[in-house]
Amino acid sequence: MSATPSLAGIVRAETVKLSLRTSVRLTLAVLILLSIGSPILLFLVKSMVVGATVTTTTTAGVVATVAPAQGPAAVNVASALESVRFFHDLFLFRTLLIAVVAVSFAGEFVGRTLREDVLRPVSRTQVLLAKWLAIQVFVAAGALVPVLIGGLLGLALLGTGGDVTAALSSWGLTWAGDAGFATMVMAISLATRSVPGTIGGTVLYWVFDKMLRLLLLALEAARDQGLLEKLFAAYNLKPLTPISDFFIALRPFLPSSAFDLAPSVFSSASAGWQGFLALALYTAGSAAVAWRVFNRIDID
Amino acid sequence: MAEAALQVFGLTRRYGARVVVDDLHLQVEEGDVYGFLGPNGAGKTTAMRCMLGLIRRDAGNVSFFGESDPVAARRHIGAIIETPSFHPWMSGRANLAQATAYAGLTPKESGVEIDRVLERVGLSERAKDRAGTYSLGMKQRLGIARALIGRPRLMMLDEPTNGLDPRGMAEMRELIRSLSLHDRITIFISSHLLAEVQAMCNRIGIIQHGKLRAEGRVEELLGLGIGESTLEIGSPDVDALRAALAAIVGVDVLGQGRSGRVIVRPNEVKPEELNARLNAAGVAVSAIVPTERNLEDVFLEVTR
Repeated sequence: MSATPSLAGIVRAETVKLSLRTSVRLTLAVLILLSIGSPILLFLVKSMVVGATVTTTTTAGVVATVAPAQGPAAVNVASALESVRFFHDLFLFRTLLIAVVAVSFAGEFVGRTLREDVLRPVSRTQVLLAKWLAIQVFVAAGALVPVLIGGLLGLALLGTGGDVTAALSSWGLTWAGDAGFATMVMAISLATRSVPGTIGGTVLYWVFDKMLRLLLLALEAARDQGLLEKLFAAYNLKPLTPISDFFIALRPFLPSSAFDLAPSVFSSASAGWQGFLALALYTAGSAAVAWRVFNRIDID
Repeated sequence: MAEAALQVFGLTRRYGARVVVDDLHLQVEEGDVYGFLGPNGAGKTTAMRCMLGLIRRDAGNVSFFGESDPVAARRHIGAIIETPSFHPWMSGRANLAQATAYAGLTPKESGVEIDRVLERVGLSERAKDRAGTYSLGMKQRLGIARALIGRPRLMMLDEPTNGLDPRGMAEMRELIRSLSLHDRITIFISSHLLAEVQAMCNRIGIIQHGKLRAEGRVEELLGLGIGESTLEIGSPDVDALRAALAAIVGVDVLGQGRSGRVIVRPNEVKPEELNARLNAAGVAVSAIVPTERNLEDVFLEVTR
């Protein structure tokens, strides 16, 4: 007769399964390559600049994008960490994260392998938690692997210096944002129960979020330049200042503010308390939706 | 008294206005090989999914070995619902390792259990191959192996021979028999293959439109209705045979049997007397045999 399954045992099994997926292996392989390649690239550029300080203005320009306006001396382990994070964002880690989450939830639902898990003496909450934790292990690997490889290699090739604490905290924020984002994609995946639905739903979220952000930015600019008052006056309307102020104040709570706490290729946002609060709320809300859906759906 | 292996009370499932499983009651005793029969769309698979807690039920109770909490009850159950699904990029062994974790086995116990179940279904040699490369028959056997993990007391098998070639069917049938006889596992099996069910099962339930139409021991069901004391009579001249039978007092002509034979209920008339009377009427009789009723006859009768 079966024993009582432990959550740790199921998480281990789910993590092993995830690690055998091609998409996960590919993602980690690319991350490792970038984590190795980025400090080496910086080292080469630094060597070239040091060796030809008079003539290599173009190369110095490239360095400047990574270590702004400080010259070769500013290229150090902190630069390596930041450059790896730059590539982490640039090669769209989150795009691959969407794919991994989609196949782990909707993919298993459609492929009917989810059925085999819930046929065992475990509650659906345990199954969901185990799969979510396995995804979080992958998210953690997506942050820790580049930090460890890029950091150690950067230290060896480029030496100490720079604001390592700031670079590491940016990585921490990236990790937290990825963890929350993965939870939201999990909720979309379970709600749609289809891989294209997960991808489509996440793209819709992204488009909606960006449009709303632009709209609120435009609203804020219009208010700051007095355009809103002029608009209302033109139509003999009473200014709706409290309402416009309310909407403008929502901007820091948008999902993109929550999931992009650290400055990145796509966002210059820096973490404010609103961002942290929004991250906590969106993550908890997504987890609650996922839990409710998973505990109610028929699993064929 | 021992608890029933499976007890279903008033199980109901609707899809909108359509009632797919309708107040289903059934009981499977420990040691039974229970055949769950029904035409396509009768609600067999839906009922099994409801019993296992895969899908919501609108009413009713289900208990396994007296345990009605589905999570606790699943400790006693191994199940295959339709075609078993696997992660195709993982080996057969790795797929089973997933199941051992969900069954609560430690990594150390897992290896031993996987070896045992692979051996049991004869898949040890292909265990390291990717599950995606397995034939349908091998997938079914791997499905059985997975269902055997944790030593279940009851196995629920939904159409386990579906899509298999004759050899695969025979192997599967033999395996199921052996699970019942040697491993002492109670079997609940749904199948379209009536001859197979008749050969394997000791008890049968027939479901139609979500309702249980008949349930009982195989020999009881075969003894029901017209088959109890009927004869099939053959003659080269069927019309003359029918006319002569109609003239014999006490003999009821029931209809057409196999190979053009006429089915009669002889009542008090003995077969040798019937033969003599037919011969006296000038009818050449080629055969008088007791009607052989099989599960197909019962099934068609119950579900017509």
